[in-house]
Amino acid sequence: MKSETLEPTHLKELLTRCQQQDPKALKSLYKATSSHLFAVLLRILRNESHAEDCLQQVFLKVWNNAGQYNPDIARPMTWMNTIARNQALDWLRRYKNDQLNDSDDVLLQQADPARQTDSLAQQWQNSDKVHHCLKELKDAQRQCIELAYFEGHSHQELSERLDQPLGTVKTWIRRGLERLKSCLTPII
Amino acid sequence: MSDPHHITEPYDLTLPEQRHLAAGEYVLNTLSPKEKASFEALMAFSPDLQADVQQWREQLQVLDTSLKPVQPPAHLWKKIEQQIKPSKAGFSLKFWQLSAMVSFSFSLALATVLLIKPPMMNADTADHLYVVNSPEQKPAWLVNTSMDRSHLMVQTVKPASLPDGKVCKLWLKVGDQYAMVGVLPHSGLSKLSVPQWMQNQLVNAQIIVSVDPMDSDNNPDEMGPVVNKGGFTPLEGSLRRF
Repeated sequence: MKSETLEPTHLKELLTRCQQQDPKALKSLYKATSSHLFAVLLRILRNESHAEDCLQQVFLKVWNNAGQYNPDIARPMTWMNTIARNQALDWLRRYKNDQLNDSDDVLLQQADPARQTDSLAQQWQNSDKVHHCLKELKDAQRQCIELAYFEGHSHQELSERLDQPLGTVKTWIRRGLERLKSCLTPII
Repeated sequence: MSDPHHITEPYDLTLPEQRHLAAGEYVLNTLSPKEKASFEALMAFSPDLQADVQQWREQLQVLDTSLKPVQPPAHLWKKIEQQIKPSKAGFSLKFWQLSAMVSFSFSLALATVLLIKPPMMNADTADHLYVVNSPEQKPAWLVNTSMDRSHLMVQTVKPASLPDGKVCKLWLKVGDQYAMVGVLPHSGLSKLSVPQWMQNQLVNAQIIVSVDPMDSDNNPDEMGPVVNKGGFTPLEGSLRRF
């Protein structure tokens, strides 16, 4: 599919037309945004087949709930990214629960967080300004924020996963958010 | 990587700076269930905190937008398209049109009764409702006017089955003028905008439901077969507001 523009005004128009159940608008919205949303879903789920299922659900939610989109509150991509992230994190929680109910093997399936961070750092090379702001963060701060954002971990889960005291993890996240905000505010 | 000043206390939500950081962690979803409950209780009454959360959503979205786009497989769109298309099982346009005529006759009889005994209510401020019936004469959609008459809310009850590629369009007619306000949804609630020029006359507008191709123009001269037609009925005693 040929991609379309991500320009907010254009996306807003498409969402308005989706509200009126115009299938052409959803197709245009899909062309414009699906590759970005699919990247988010793949990052969270790390499984192509699951990401495809989730992407399908995301666009059905957009189709059925376009009337609830409020341009005064969020930009179109923020709204759609939030739907995608919530959909994937919900899926992940359900999957984790199923795995825990079925077997303790889930503990062995967790990937090495250091390797994940390296891989993500490579993907972030695509955006200079983001890369700049992320360089402002300490490695531990960045790793905690990524794992929380993309994998939905709580403080306690991060503490266990990174084998660090709870207070240390909380500190890394707070300091990381402070730094990220002060860096991003002038450019957003 | 160690930090000498480890945080062990939860956020103090009475302090603006801590509230702001808590909003960031709310978006990250790292707050404990107790912290999250306190935060949400406060957020429910604080537009500033709601704005903080939205600001963090925008800012943390850089994590999403900085990922390299990945094209999903081509077959995925076909699956989505299939799901948003209405099914064609059990559809009979002629039967629907015929039953709409019967329904219209019943509405006339009802209107006559209502005229003999007018309802004790102010029609300018009351909710108004129109029920779009299915070919089986069961409620398929409920169409409500908003209090300020700027919108219609359409609640799906049991949508009628339609042939592939067809949709039900909702038109409003005031005098000789038509407006296509939207397509009746397959599920859930849909909010349709009423054109400004029609809002004062909305409760007196004629409602028309036609069956048209999905991608047809919204030209009243090319309107497809009409399957439902009628007017809004004022609802007495409704407390709903939107």
